[in-house]
Amino acid sequence: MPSLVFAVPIFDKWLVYAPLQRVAALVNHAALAEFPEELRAALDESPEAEPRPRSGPVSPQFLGLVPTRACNLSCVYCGFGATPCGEQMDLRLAAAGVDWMADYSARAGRRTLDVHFFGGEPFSAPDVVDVAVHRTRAVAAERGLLPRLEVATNGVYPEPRARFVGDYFDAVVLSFDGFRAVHDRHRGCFDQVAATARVLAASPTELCFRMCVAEDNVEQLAETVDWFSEEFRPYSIDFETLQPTPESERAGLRPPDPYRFAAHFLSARRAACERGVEPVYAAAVTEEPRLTFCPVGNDTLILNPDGRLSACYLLERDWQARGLDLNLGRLGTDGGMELPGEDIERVRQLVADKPRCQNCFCRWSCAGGCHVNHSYPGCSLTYDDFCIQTRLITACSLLEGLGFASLADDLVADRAEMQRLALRPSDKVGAP
Amino acid sequence: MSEYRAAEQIRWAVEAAGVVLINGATGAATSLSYPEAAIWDLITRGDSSEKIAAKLCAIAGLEPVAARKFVLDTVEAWRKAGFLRG
Ligand code: SF4
Ligand code: SF4
Repeated sequence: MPSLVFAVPIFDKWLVYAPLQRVAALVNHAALAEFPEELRAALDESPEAEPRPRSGPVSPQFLGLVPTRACNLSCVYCGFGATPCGEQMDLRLAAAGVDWMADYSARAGRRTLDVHFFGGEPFSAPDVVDVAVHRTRAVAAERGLLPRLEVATNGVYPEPRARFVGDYFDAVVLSFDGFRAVHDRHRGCFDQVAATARVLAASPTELCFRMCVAEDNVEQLAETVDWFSEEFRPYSIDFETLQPTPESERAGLRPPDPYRFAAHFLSARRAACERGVEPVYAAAVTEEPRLTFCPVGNDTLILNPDGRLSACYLLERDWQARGLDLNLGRLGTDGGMELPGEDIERVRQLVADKPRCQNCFCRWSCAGGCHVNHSYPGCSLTYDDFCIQTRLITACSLLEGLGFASLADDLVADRAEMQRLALRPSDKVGAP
Repeated sequence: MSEYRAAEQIRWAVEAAGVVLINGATGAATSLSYPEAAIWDLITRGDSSEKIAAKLCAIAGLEPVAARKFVLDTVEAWRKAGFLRG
């Protein structure tokens, strides 16, 4: 039986981690060197089952709606190929998507009707959003469900639209990269985004900032968190490192050094916690063993403007370039749904096959990261920057959870020690 | 541009199942459920009756003629009740 216990070096000690038992321990070198089997056996007791791909009838947590791929901005790192104009979803299609999800939610005995909006920029198709929001609320009321609406947005629109967003959405993920100079270099329209953030902060919505971290703002993470928290009181801040695109490279924007990102993220996380803001680095959430950290593999249905249902909200051409097929089916304006079982199964199985992650202690938390940009079929088997930062942040989180915060600080202050941990090819204990 | 605006004394709050209008002068509250709640939102954000009727077709599954009549009747009732001016 393969070992399910992992260990990574922390100076002269070892951080031992059994993700299926959700147990971590800091032990000395002798314990690991002399008693690896005993240690493994002790930690291997009554583990939870390994996470497996979903099975049975399709069960989406939410319906994703892409009202349009168009966007009113042209951020220098955007990989969505967005333009100001673009196909908009037929209003009847948006309504049909909501009706299908309401029907499913009622049949499944859910309490909520969950609809999330993505883009492009969803509000570049404002009529589609208006219809989908009100249709969701109307059918939810009819069926005794609670509407639960979320949107990912750039916040660049006039105040009445911002008020609508704050009043009608339960959660808003606002792209906000930090201080004026950084935000304007990355995305533009700082003043308007800050104005929208103020309106949203004063509304009942749960406001989350999504911050793109690049080489030019990685040193400012803690300061940015302080300013965000004081000025806008967001519920959470999600830190995502720049995913390089030809556009970002042309603009001279580079991803941060992963070691520096890990160190600055740690300070930023402390600053956020002190101010009551939830810091998020999605790949390092260790609460529940999982096979995927995103909608793919979780049966989520993303409805595109052309009626295609897909598992991922990226453009079809992006996943096709990686040799992936993430299409799941099709919905018509008349409500006719095609959802072939073999397509659902294909995507469910995809998330279980990640050769690079087999021996990594993060395999059931990071779970390989993005299936399109990072853990695609045929990707390199060696750790890249995303792996390095994720492994470091996960180790620091486990140390902090054990009460060794100062050891985490020492670790991120010592590059050689970080490299020793981050570049270890296998973390498995007592296994070949 | 919308032909109508909320009357001066009318405030409103968005709730899960609709919208509640409150008369600031009298304290009287009126609950609007769907589809009227959608009309209230769209009219107070400046949509014209034609535009609201077009959206209402998809929101409430109405035919265009029925949607148009529904919007006009609702707006007229609200005007008489003092919820709207214009
Ligand atoms: S190898 Fe990299 S992608 Fe895979 S689980 Fe570890 S950190 Fe994540
Ligand atoms: S595969 Fe990547 S881009 Fe697609 S939903 Fe998952 S994390 Fe997002």
